[in-house]
Amino acid sequence: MNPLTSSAIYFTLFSGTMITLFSSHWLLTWVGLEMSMLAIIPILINKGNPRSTEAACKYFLIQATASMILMMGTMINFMDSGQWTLSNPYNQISSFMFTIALSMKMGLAPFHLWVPEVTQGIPLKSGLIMLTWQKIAPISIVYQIAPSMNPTLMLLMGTLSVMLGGWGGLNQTQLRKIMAYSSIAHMGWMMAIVTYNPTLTMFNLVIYIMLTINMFMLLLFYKKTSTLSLSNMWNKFPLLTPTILIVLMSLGGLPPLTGFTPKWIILKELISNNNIIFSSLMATLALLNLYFYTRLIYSTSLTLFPSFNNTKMKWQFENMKLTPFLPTLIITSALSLPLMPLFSLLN
Amino acid sequence: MNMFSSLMLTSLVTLSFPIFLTMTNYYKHINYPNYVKISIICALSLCMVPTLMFINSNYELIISNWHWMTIQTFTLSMSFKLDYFSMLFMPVALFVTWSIMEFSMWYMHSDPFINRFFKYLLLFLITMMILVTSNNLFQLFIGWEGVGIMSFLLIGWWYGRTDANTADLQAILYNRIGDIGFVLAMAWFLLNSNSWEFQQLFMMDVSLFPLLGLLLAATGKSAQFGLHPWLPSAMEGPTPVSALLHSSTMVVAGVFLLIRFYPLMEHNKIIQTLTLCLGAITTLFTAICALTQNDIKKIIAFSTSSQLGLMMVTIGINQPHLAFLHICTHAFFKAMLFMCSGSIIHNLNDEQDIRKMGGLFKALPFTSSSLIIGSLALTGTPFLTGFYSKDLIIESANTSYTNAWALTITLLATSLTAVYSTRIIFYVLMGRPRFSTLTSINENNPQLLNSIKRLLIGSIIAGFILSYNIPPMNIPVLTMPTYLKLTALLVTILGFVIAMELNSMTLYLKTKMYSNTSKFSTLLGYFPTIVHRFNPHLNLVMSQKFSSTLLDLVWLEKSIPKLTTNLHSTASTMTSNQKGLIKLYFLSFLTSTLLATMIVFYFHA
Amino acid sequence: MTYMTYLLSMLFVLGFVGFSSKPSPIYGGLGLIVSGGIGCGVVLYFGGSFLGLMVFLIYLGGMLVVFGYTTAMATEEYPETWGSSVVIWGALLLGFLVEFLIVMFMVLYDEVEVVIEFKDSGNWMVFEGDELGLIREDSMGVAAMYNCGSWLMVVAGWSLFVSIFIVIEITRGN
Repeated sequence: MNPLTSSAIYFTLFSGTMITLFSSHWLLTWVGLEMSMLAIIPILINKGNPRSTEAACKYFLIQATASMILMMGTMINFMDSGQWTLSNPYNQISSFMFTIALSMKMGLAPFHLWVPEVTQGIPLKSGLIMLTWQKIAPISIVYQIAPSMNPTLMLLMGTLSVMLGGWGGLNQTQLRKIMAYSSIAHMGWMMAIVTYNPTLTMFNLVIYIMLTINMFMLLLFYKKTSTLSLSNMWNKFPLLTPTILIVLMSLGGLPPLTGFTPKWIILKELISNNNIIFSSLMATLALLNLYFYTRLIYSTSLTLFPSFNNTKMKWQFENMKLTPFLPTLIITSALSLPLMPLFSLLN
Repeated sequence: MNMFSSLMLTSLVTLSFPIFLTMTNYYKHINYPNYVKISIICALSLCMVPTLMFINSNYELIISNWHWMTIQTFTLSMSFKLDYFSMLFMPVALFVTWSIMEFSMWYMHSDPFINRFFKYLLLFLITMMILVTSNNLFQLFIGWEGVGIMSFLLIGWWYGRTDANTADLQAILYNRIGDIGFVLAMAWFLLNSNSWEFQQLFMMDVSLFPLLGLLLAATGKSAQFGLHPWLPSAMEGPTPVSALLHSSTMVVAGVFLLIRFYPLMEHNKIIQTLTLCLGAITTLFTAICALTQNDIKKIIAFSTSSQLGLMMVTIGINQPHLAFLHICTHAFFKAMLFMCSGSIIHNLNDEQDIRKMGGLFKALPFTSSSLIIGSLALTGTPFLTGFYSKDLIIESANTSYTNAWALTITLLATSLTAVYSTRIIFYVLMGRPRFSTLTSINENNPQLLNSIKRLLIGSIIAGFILSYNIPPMNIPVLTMPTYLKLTALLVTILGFVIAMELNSMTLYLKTKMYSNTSKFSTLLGYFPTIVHRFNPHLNLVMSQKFSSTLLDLVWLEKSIPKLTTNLHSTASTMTSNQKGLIKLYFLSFLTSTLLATMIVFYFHA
Repeated sequence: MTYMTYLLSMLFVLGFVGFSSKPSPIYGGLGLIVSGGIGCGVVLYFGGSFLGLMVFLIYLGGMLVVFGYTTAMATEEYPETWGSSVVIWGALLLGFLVEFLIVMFMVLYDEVEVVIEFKDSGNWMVFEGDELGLIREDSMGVAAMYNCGSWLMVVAGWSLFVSIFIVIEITRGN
């Protein structure tokens, strides 16, 4: 891509999200969403192969539909209350429409079907942007209108997301799809708690973005897109294999690692709100995620696949890329559980 | 007259000296068995004094009490009850054990662990002493369990043999079943009374429940029908053990328990009927089993079982004193019979099969005469020891109006006693030798001769002395028709005659295919097959099926892991079956939206 | 006027039913253009003559260009019309039926909750002193957009500007 064009596009992408974040006017919020949606299309296509074009088309259609529903909700809200302020809509219908539109935008079950499809079609770097940056805008809107949302509906959709995210990932061998399902499951965790404690949603989002960026950076480092290709990584760069193990465990929410923090607090919050059944259901379903992460770990670092002796001896650093963020990310995504008290700053 | 308790206790303490010696080096000395024997003699002589005083002065009973401990409202005391039963039983048991000890010194002389063997025998005797002298259930239970565990150790003396191991496992397991009954009764008494002292328990108005427990206990310990198979199997132990086990310890403990508790049982008709029927079945069944056995010790063992059944019958017709008399007289000749068989077995180089004996009356004259006298005493030949108790029992049974069926059965069993006794005599002693010629037969060891001799005298006159000196506690039956008086004698003679005729007639006949009745008798009424083989087999097969099929396969595999796997893999393929068709996605979004709308407005409304 | 709005709205939806029952793309484009034109009419009847005109000229103009191109580039020799397949016929009829039912519902029950009620133009009334004046709301809106929403215009302009690059970037290939 032309540097000038790409800088314009990236600028639009980031400024779109920023506008959404800073806006208190529904129209501007909507404009921001549209901007980032529009700008991400060429990023998604990037290489211009049919798969990514198809994925970008799908993404565009879904996001456009979602924006339209959001606009409709805004209009109804305006007709009802006579104002454009982004505050809690008292109108049930518009609130419901916002819920639907934003769920569609962030890929919450049952509006999640496009996420694996699109993620699988696009390059890894675009996937990284789509699964992290693009979640920020819709979740920030949800965060702002959270008190007016229907708790039952959000909890149901959240649990369903965790469930479908878990089940979907079981069936995959493609890393991008697995990451997409992992994203769906994480969205479920965020949305389940949003009506009780929206701060936790933001907290979970931060942790999720950190871990996902880490994982995608690791995959980008060697351009791995399938489980099979992960399995012959051990002799190229052995240091990466335990790192992937740690990051995946963290993503799965295993106790001493960072990923455990949001799950822990969310479960605690749900239980203090007397949601014993949902919380235990979600905790159980998180095991499904952990299962397919473990399967990745299994083929990455726990087993040696049969290979020739020559390949075993291979020991060379093919990749001379600089990875300035990777060490920091790995450390934060593995070891920041003790920093949990900082969570109180978010309140 | 404080001499009673003190002398009795001195006697008991004397018995326990050899046990304490275990801690010293003297335990390893070659004279240890002799020392054990001498301590028994001392105990016997010490014990005879109070017994004679007791008989002379017509005491009812003497109880000595020492406080042991108090648990809240419940007091445990160490108390000895010296009444008619314990006072008479102790000298008898000590006398018989003395002979058995001497006999063991001959029989077990080559055993490397003979000292330990003597210690076990002595412990066996001591626990039996504790059992008979105790005045409360707790002490009785100590003796009861002690007898059980010592019998376990002694039956399995030759633990290298599989048979011995199975036999002592059988003994301990059947006794466990009986112990359930005992513990049950103890628990009942504990619940309904604040004491386990007999004199307090006997004042209670008890229900059937604890009595059933006691009957179960007696059934286990005295090998009554249902829990009987361990007794013939116990023949795997050394012969002195069998002699001690069958005469004065262990097996009579169950009957003794019921005799102790007769104040509770004598007013309860149901438990009496149960006891009577149980005894009658046992006595007949085991007599039938004895008929076709070829192992000499097994025949004698079954005869013990049969006699125990007879004792139960006696308790069932409410004559506990007669049962007790029979225990005492039976101890003499049964110990002697075992010792005779031990002598024969030893002399024939460990041959136990009566078909391979014969003609021993010339080779072993003393043993033969003792065996004949013992068998005659067992069958109740007039004026031998057995007569004084057995004849009285049959008479009381005949004149009682309790249960004609049980009485008929008992009479039949009495007749069969004569039959199997004849069979032993006929096969072992009469005719021509069938054993191998190269045996060194020698019965001239004084240890053997003296011990059998002593019991032989006992078998002849003990019954007379005992019955002469025992004051009648129940009203004896004095008048009856002649034919009833003679019934016991007649059936016995009938048994002798028929058995003799049959044996002579069939001695040289070719063995036919065994008939079903014969098989029934040879295979002990199929009882061991059913109880020892079929039940455990069924249980094990069922357990295996349960554990492998139900638990492992269904529960641990199919229902949880496989179900979870199937559930999740099905759900996974169903939910993530991507078609890649955006139209379908939108359709599903539409459906979801409608569904969500319904949910929202349902909850909203 | 209300009846006219009703009628136009019905036609508006019928146009959508026409293209969503899946004929060939050029007929779909036709349906969209029809609907778009009718939409302008609806806005016009609400009193937004300026907005209606602008939309008709700019949006419909663009649409016509697109329509022209699609027609020119259509390679189907026998494009599917609404009458050429039972499925399309069925979908069309189903759409009509649903539309009919909704209209009947509106007529019978006077209003449907979701549909915006035809009530307010009062938002743009100006009350000043004791004098009551009516101001044309669309020209007012345009003025308000340039005045109050100046930064919105900047954002919108930037978006339009970038969208050119985006479109070129997407379509130019490698």
